[in-house]
Amino acid sequence: MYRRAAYPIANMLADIPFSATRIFIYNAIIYFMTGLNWSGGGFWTYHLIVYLIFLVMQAFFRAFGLIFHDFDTAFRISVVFFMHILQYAGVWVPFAAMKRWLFWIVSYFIGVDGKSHVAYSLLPRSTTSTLLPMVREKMAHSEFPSELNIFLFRMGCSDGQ
Amino acid sequence: MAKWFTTKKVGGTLYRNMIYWLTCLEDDTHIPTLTVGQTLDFALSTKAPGSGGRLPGVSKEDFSVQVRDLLLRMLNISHTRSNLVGDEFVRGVSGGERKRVSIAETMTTRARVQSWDNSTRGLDASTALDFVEGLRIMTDVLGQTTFVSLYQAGEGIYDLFDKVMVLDHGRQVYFGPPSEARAHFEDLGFRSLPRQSTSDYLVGCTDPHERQFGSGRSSLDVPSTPEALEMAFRASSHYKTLMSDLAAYKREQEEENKDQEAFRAAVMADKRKGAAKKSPYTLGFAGQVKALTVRQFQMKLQDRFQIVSSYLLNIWVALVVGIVYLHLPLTGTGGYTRATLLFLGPLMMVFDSQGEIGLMMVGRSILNKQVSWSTEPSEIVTKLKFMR
Repeated sequence: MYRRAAYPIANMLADIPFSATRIFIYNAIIYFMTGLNWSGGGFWTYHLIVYLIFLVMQAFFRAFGLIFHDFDTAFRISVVFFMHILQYAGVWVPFAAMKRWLFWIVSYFIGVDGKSHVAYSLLPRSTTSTLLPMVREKMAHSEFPSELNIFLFRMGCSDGQ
Repeated sequence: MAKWFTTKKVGGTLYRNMIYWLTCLEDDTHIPTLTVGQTLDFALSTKAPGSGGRLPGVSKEDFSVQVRDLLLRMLNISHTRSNLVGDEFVRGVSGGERKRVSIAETMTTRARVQSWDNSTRGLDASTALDFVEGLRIMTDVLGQTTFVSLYQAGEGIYDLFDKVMVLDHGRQVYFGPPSEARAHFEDLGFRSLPRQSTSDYLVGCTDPHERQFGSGRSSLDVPSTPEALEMAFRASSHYKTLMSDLAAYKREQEEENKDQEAFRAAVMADKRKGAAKKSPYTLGFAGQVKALTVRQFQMKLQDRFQIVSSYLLNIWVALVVGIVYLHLPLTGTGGYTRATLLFLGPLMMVFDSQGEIGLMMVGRSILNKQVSWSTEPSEIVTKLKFMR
């Protein structure tokens, strides 16, 4: 009746109306309860990035569900990959402390240049206006200041000092 | 010991390149949260002919609705059109009605050769009869060939078939008209018991523990091994008739290829926009995605439990996270906590999406069935070779 490849594409498209509203409610509750930066720009940036992460990881897990024949194998193998992603997402292991020879893990998460890690990409808009003075102060005494500072500079949140 | 039934029109191999072959297994694999109508609408949307295959003035939607209602009326399940199909967990139509939904779905594919493997399993006698009558209607109306294997076929079911095949350890010990099968085995020396249905008798003849010999006969003068039974069949008049029918059919097909040309032309005319000439699909890839998206959306929308539980779970998790990190301080002391929160927010959603692995497994059998319904002809030929 149809090609196998048509199924995952259609499944993803059909799921968007449901997941979009679901994640929106989720994000709105968390964002405003915890008192992150009270601005439209901050919230929508946060929502966009969290939703994109959700879509990417949903597709990631679906791929395992489609590749393997049984649930047990799919789940276990996916967890192996998932743990790598989690550790190198830029929060548990600081960016500068990552081993260079394991850096390929970062590339299958977001991008090769590594500057767009989850926490980094979320930082500027939702927190910087309140946190920047603190961050800048920390950077000054940190042993790996340059990466984050350059990134904040690029995003227009820092004066590059 | 399966018994195989078939219709007279065996015309497979010559149309090899144009044929749609499908096999239905014992279980009904349908999406439980779709209604009967939606199930057929989807099947029709992937198989309904393009403008070349419809009467002028009939739109694609009209065509689909007409065919769907026709199928439902023909199989006498019109009243279930807006009921959920259901399964073990979702309340839906009855088992017999579900079988007929399977038949209707099969009919929408307009496959010329179909095989049904023990599809009456778990049905009561009258529903099983209804089911086979449905197959009979489909075979007659669409002029196709249907292979059916059944356990415990009652007399009413047995009489519906054009031919019956009895196999013993892979050897064909009878293939011919059902009405003459009993006489064939009685002539060989097997005794038929009173009140024993014909199909039970035929199966019994191949079973050393069950069969009984006629008065004064024993295994010495009755063919009782599979080989001997096959030899006995080959020596009978049924075999000669069968072979001459086969030869006549082959000769007819070689001389008269008008049918084949017409069949090829019809398959070509059915193709919708975007479907390649050589592909076995009626619909192009974009069309397939569109049809599937509509179905998946309906499916998710009607799965109320899934919707309600996922929304409630998300709100609950958000509230818990919100309370734990309530009103983070705006000073530097909130710095690391903020970073943790920014990581935790997406992380919870990622854990939630891990459930997708299981959901992908759930729909697997349906996916496999529907994908196999458009198997490339060359694959079928390979499969047949392996089966031999």
